[in-house]
Amino acid sequence: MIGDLLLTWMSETGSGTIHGLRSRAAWLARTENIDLPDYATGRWLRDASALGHCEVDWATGVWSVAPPVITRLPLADGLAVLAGSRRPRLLRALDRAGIYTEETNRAVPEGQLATPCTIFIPFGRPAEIEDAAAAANATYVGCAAAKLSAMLTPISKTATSAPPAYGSLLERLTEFSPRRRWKPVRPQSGFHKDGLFREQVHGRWQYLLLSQGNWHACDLADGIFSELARRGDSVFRWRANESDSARAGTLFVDWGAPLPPLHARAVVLCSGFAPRFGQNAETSIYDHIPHDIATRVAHSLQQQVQRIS
Amino acid sequence: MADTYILWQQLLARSFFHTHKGPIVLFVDDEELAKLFPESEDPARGLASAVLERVRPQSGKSMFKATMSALRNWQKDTRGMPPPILPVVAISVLAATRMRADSAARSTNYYLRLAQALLPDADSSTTQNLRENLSSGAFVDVVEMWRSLDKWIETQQGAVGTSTIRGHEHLSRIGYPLSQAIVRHSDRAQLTRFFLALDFELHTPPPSKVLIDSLEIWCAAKLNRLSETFIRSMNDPETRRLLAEVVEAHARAWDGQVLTSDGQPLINMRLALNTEAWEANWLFEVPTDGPSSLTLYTAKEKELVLADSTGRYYRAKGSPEVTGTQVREGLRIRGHGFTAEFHGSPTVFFCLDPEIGTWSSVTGLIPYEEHLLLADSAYVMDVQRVLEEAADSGWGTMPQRKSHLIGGFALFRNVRFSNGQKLDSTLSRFPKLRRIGVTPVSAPRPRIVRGLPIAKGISTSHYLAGGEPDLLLPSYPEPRHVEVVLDGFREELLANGFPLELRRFIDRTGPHTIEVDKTWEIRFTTLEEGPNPEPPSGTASLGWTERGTMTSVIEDFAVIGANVDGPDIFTSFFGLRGRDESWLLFADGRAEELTEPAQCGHTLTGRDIQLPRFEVHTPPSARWLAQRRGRLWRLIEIGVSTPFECELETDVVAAWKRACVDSNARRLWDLQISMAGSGA
Repeated sequence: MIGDLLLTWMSETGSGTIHGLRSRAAWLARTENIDLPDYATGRWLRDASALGHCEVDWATGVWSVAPPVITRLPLADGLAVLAGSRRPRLLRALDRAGIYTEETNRAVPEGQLATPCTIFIPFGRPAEIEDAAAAANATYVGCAAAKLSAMLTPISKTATSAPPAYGSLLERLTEFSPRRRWKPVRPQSGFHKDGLFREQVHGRWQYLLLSQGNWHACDLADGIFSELARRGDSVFRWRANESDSARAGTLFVDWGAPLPPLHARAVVLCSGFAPRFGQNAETSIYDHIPHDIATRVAHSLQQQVQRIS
Repeated sequence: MADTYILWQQLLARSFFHTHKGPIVLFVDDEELAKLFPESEDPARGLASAVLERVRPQSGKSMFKATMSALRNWQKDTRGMPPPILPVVAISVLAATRMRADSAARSTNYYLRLAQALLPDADSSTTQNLRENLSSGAFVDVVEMWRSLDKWIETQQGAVGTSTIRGHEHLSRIGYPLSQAIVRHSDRAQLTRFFLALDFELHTPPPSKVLIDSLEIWCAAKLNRLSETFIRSMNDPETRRLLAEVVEAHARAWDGQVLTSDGQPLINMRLALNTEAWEANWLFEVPTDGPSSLTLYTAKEKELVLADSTGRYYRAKGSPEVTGTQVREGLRIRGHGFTAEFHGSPTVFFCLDPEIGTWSSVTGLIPYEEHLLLADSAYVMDVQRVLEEAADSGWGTMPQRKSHLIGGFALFRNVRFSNGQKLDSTLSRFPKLRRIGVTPVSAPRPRIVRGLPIAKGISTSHYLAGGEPDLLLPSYPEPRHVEVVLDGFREELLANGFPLELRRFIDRTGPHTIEVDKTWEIRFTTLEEGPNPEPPSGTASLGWTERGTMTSVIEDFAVIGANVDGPDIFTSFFGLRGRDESWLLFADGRAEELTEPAQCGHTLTGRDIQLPRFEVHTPPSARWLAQRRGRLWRLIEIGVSTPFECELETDVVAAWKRACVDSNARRLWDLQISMAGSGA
């Protein structure tokens, strides 16, 4: 309910600040007596972005709702989902055009905010889904998951950066799996081993990769996967579906290595659902992922997909 | 001689009627006269002497004849300058500021004070005689002078400011000087803070009764101090209405700037705490229409340069170090044209500030929000007791590192209050803490906050259905009960700074009305959606480039949401379920049998959706999908935008194999499917 209400509000508002949206999400949860940890609203926004509903610029603190589209799920026997702006008039238009839709909510684990419901549109032929999109004044975009997985560019080091400032708060990433652990180091110490560091600048963490004596600025996700590649560690595991092993499977990624936004979107749009979280193994779990797509996403992050049974 | 009527007229004209925006208040008390006339030993006596050049107390009711005559002549003239009555109206204000209760007169005995001001050295019978003449009709002329002055200010169309001269329903004559005497300089500065808190549209304030009722609530907080005269006038039923009119005049003339007590526009200072880097520093808020850069001077005359007004705060160079004394007692840094001010307190609440990524001080406790709380060591024990009893669990003292972040203060983290009643009952045992700010931020009038506003371009009072706003009730520092009528339903509610979540009570769309204490009315409307069918501005304003970089340059968008540039590279094909056999036929004549996969409709959607087809990932060399049920084969072309389909009884798998190696067989294939297609 809250997830749907927030998406409708985003669709009616167009754009805004991340802070404003997160505080509204926390407020809505409070008015429904839902106890949320602080990070839950940020996770909700990441999920909404992965579902293709919005774009979020964390660097400048703003979001913008994406235009409404219908996208086909890969190897899903004729299931498409609605992504992007979801104004009530769009849903009415689909209804008026006699388009059959199925709204599905997943159970919400404690401490999380429900993502918007997934609206499935079953179809027999591609022409039917194009008609549905036209009726709702939306765009049919084909299989977004597959297209995204094909366009992901490999992570690479960015331009070199100045070393951390003398006396700044500097920490080095020591562990990834399953969670990240950072250990304080002295910036004034001239000698550091290669690795991923974070430095606090004006109260915010900025990430730096040290490679062969050169410092490179990066964002957290790129930094983590570069560091994973340097160490030769793999955090991608894929298990074929029991009932349909030839087509799709489940992808497991360690919590400590969050997927960059477009990579997350490529895998989330395989099922139309945000990832589940495996509390025991501390992994993010993505459903219905064709092996091809899992491989492309992993390769662009310099990762190999381990097949597990 | 300086103390002549004309010189006083010029001096007062220069001091009060120069070109400026905002309210004009002809406030003249002994202190103000001393500032205006620093070289005079007794400027009040000087003013009286000047007035007596034109006013003849011995003439009884026509004592102001000469001044009135000058006024009539002025009225016939171009009236470019203020009317020649300023010394007379000024002394009438001086008398109003001297209306204090003593053994000789009740505070309302205005005419005695005026008589004393006009004849400071007269004996008691002369003074009484003058008082009687003034009250029995002579003062009517002064009323006319006030009206002329008010009218003249109005005809200047704002060039010399906006008039705050007001009459009074009952005190019809003396209301005019009183209207100028009850708002001091310091009050004017405080009123600008009140107007900011009231948050109304510039130049269209709420009605005077709402203003004065809100002001009474606002000034109950320790931080919001108004002069004794002001408070007395507010509490006196005789003068309250006049004061309300005057405050309304000030509100109407307010230009949106908050002033400090020295009359300069305020640059609000906040305290920032960075608990990671263990640093404290001052933040300087950019005021509305504030300059892009400016220089202030600290107590030791050191320069403090504020630059870059593009964000919420200036970039500060030369900012003073934060000390415990400053936090406790406050800090003021003056410059030419602006004054930066921090209101000190022994307890300071902080919220996470998205602008700086760390904690910045706020004016009080905000219900439900996470705070850091800085507490003077003198209050730490009491603060701890309040936290133990009323705060949500999870709070704790912040371990100090090498040194205290602020000397003499303890720091508490994860401080959050979610239970208003618990906080009220705990604070009732710690009234001292309430007084120093451990209480929710007080609201001077009911307001609606939060909610999910929509159609903001055309309205500020429309909300998405289900996203109804919270109601913040006007609250004194002490909780109190207020009457709230929501859409016709009346309730007595406790106003304690915690919001009333209206979305819990409203279940219909349309207009809604809230009435609070029969004084304030708030209206808002809930809608299922915004009225404009066009996408709201800001939609699709962010996207990704081909290289996977976030951008707001629309021309560079390669990805936006689920819309990705380029062809649909994942080639797949749909076969019908429930066939006897299914084959993919390849360009080289090869055939590959397909096994119908399990239904994934239920797995994916969790609903009982039976999908009639199954999807096959087709390699580029696949040409046909052939499916048989009984004797009938269904053939569908692969790899074209409009696939050819037909049904035929031939064994298509064998026929295709032959057609790929033999030209005659190929011609037969073409003929067969062409005939089958035309018959289909």
